[in-house]
Amino acid sequence: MTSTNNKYSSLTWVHLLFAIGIIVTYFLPWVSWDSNLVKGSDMAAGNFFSISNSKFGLANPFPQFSFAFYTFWLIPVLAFVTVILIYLKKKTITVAYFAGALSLALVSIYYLFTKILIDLGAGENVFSMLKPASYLHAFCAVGLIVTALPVKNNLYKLLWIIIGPVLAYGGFKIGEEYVLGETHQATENVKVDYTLNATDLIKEFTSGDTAVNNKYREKVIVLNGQPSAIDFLPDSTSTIKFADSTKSYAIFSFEKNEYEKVKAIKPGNQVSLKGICSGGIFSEILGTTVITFKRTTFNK
Amino acid sequence: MKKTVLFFSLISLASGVFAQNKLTTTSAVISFDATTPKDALPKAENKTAIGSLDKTTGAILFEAAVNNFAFTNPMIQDHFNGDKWMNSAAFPKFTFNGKIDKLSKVKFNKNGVHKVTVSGTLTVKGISKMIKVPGTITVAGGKATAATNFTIKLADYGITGQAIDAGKVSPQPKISVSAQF
Repeated sequence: MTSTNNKYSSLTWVHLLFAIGIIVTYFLPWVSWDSNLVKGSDMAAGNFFSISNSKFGLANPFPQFSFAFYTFWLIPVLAFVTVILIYLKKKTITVAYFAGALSLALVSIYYLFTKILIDLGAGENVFSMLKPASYLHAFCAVGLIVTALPVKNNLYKLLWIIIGPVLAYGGFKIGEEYVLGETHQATENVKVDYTLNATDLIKEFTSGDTAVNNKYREKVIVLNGQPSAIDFLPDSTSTIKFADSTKSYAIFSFEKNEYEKVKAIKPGNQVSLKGICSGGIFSEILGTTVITFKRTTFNK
Repeated sequence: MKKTVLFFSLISLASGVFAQNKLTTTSAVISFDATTPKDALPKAENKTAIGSLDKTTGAILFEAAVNNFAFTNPMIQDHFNGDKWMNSAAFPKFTFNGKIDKLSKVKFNKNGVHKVTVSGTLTVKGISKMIKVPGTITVAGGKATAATNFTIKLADYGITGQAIDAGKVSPQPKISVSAQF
């Protein structure tokens, strides 16, 4: 009986250590993305995707569900509740299982996302990019589930250990498939950033460079003016060009489905076009400034 | 005074003749295909490339705005233009500056398809490399069309990364160019 009590007591201390380990490691750096340290708490704090977006151009593909990441604040909260329950000599099983499962889900997300960022130059090897705190956190999470009080059978514990990573993997794969299958939103449906006259835009680009490029690059622009030239390409695509007196020009490329509409336009007609501005370059061949547009359509 | 007028007249005349010999286009099509069996997404076209062809010297030049290569997938478009790949903010255009070898074989005044070899310097991401590519010059109805298909080694232009190592991006993308002058 004494031996059982001592054993139970040792298990309680170990359980307590795992709970404290989860709290401490949660606030430590878990991964290094090209020298940018990301803490375990950065997902719930909203920094995870802001770092990946600002450093590697990979934003949260589902910003509408950002609120769901607050769930991960439950990890330190539940681990702290576990500590209180241990102190009060109460059952910890439910909170410990949830804290452990959430922790393992979060570590899995860091692992999977870091693998994606490697393609963007964030590092070479996912295991060397993950910091000791992430490994320790996963270890504490497994330990917290295994030592949860009162002790349940091993199959039940195993289920709680694997459920977090399995759900994280499933959710991640669904997200990945969605992102890879995504196409650009139809230009006619996207919000316009700027509406300008062709001559004004060309003038702005010819008088500036970097600042103007930063202003208009990847922006949705409606451009009004009179085309100076219309070219039809052998594959039934086409381009419409607006040039100024210096022969600098803005050019829109159209896909095959716009062929008939483009065909009806003649140089000098007033038109209103909508497209994504790719920015301007100075052409050494022509000695003029060239502003290009992609995914273009006629403005309704 | 008469000599001065005559001099400027000759200059103007010569400029006109040279201008006719130098053909240009602002709607050349350049395709970039880095697809692999693992990933069909890294593929794009730019239909607003600038090209020029000098019928007398054989000089052939191209420029294409990197950011105007249109990919179907928004994420791949971002990656292509990002710092680690083409870095289009710092290196906004690809350029080619070359010459047609054995230009005398090309008859610009006669309809026909002429196989040519073009040698020149391709500049990608600020790195210039000499390349030699096969192509065709097609003359029909008084218009010349230049076309070529070739591959480049991304590593030659300082473009490396895990996506290439993992087989998601071809290390040697296919480039095709078609320009109707």
